[in-house]
Amino acid sequence: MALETVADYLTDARRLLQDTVAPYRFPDTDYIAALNNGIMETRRLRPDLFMGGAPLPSYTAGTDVVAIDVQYRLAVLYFTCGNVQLADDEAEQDARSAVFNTMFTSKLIALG
Amino acid sequence: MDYLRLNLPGALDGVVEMEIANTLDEFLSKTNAWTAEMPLRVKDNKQNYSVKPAGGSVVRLIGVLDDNPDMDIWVPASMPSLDIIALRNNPGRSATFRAFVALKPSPNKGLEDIPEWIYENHRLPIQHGVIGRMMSHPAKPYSNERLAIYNMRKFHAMTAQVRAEKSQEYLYRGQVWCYPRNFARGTQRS
Repeated sequence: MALETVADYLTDARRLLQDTVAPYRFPDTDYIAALNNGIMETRRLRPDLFMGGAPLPSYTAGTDVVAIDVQYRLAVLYFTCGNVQLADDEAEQDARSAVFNTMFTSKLIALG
Repeated sequence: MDYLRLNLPGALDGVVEMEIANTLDEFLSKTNAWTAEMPLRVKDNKQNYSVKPAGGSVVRLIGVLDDNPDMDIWVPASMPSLDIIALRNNPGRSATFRAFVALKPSPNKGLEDIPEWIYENHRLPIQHGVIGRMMSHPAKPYSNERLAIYNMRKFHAMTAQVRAEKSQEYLYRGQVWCYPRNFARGTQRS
């Protein structure tokens, strides 16, 4: 299944940001930090995705399995892309980052 | 579950199951649709007896029946707490009475001990209740205030109907009073 592990998210995020050829624009650590931020933000908007009282997961390695329901994995991927791109200080990247963040929010809380 | 998923895009199965438990709790508490009969072994000079049904938790006492063929009457009793049956009078002998209680899901067991026939017999009110509750959640892909109101109205109407029918033990025209047959004349016209 797609988007199971941290490595899956990294691969897809690099594809969407056209950052697939070394030397990369953004290191893996940036993507993983963005993914962890996405988990925190998902917890804020959709606490039902983390029911059961377990501590909020945090990921460090590419082999870690990302514990998000299959229906909302794409939303977390979009947040990861948008959050990574926020580090880029070119004006057109800001707009693209905002689009990713809007898609993240709308996928979590609306039909879209 | 498939029907609920169809109506609630983006809903998590765990949340749907939680709302099924909440809906069943309200539905069964209001209707007395799930009842159990338990033997109550009474003794002389003892009026309080603890009860624990095999499945579910007690909502209320429906009645206690004295099983003595000579008596065969409802015994005055109440339930000061949901695990104690208190007889108003001393039974005066050792006997086995029959206690009837209404049940709802146990909070710690969830849906595990719900009999299948409850879903089969009351599928529609349960579906409306779950969809209505889910759609009233804030800021979810399946949030829909208007449909939440519609579904909850249907749920409450169907619940009231089941409550009324259960109170007459599902007997058609159970509330209609009539003279014994010997009082009847030939037809209504004569």
